[in-house]
Amino acid sequence: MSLEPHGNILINRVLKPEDAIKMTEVAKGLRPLVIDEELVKDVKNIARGVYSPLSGFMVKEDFERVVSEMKLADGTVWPIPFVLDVNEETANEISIGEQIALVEENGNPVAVLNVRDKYIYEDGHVAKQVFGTIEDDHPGVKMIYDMEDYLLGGDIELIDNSKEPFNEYNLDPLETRLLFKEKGWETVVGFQTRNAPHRAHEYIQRIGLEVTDGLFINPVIGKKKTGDFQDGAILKAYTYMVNEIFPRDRSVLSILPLKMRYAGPREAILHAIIRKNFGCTHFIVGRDHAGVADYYGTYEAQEIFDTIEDIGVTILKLEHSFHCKGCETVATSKTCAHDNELRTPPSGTVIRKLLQAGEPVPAEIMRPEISQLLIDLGDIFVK
Amino acid sequence: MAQVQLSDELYKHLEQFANESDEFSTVDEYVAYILQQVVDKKKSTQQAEGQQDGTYSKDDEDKIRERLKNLGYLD
Ligand SMILES: [Zn+2]
Repeated sequence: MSLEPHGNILINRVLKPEDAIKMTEVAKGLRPLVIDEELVKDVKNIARGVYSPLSGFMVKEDFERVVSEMKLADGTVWPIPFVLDVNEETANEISIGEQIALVEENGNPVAVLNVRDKYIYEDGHVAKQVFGTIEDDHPGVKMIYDMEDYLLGGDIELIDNSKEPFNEYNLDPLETRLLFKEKGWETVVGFQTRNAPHRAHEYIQRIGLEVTDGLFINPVIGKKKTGDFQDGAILKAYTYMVNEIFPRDRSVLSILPLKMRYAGPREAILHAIIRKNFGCTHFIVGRDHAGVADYYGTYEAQEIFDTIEDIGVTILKLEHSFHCKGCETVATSKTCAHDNELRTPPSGTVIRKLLQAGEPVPAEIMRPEISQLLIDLGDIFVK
Repeated sequence: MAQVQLSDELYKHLEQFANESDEFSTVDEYVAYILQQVVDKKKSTQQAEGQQDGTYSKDDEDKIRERLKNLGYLD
């Protein structure tokens, strides 16, 4: 029996194929609102229950309580606003109660929004509350400042349930929940990543797998920074891990298309809630989870779980791990007594430089077969 | 705070009920109470419907299982 979804309700706003065809016709007669790629991801995530209990974009009372108290209007813990922004002119044209069509830049209708609310917000206040800063150097804060002045709230109905790219790795909560059940997993640990696996990741995954029935590797897919691993490379490397390294009936790899907000502690809560919806009972939160630059304290993303109402997910709060020559294995400050000279922490910069030069990463940092696989793929970093 | 317009007749009835009750000192309080109940009821119905959304039929489950098999997640 897996954990109940967040808010005890698994949202499903995906129209059945026959209804989607009808709705596509209806949508042609509705006011179109073009949304970008990142909002399309949010729309699909909402409809598929990834953000349960959200069934649409937030209305004002949810939005304001989320910003100030990390709760939806009904009291359910929720850390990050999910909103649909429009400019003043558009806001004036749209009335509450209206249905509008959310369309991609190429005109493809993605969903219908039942507009229930229309409101303004104060961006500085939102930034300060959600991100803890008003500096626009912070990428999440910049996203808030770049938003239009008005927000629309209301439920959505998903027309386009396509899952490209990486359809074959893209499972909905309904699917993962059934999958975990079929595998007989009572407990499942979720692992969030944006990287190809090195030994320190593997160490942490093993810790999770030692205390649960199954490991759910759930890389975040989407917009990345220059120098980040490309999504395809991450998936190839993890496919190797779940097929060859972990017992095949003990690990699952599936993607999460999601925009990073870099909200540190608040985002860690979001990540845990999302994995809860996928059916995870445990979730790994490392140091500096979802942080950026020096905006958050090293342990803030772990400590925040002690200050909120229990969301039902067991948080595995882990230290950074490194290879230690004294221990002759991967360890953390909790398990190794040696000096720093003997410890080699995995460095993203070093790993990138080596792989870009076609050279394998030292075997104590990255599995040689993963190094080789990445070198063979070539062109694995975002330009 | 938002204002709502009511017919004089309806207002008189409400005023009478509010006066007869011990709980409400004004018509505003009384009306707000009634409307809140309607909203709560509506919300819980929506939630129940949503719950049905979340559950799925045997047929749906078979489709999901089929996809999981096709993708190699299940044998
Ligand atoms: Zn050591």
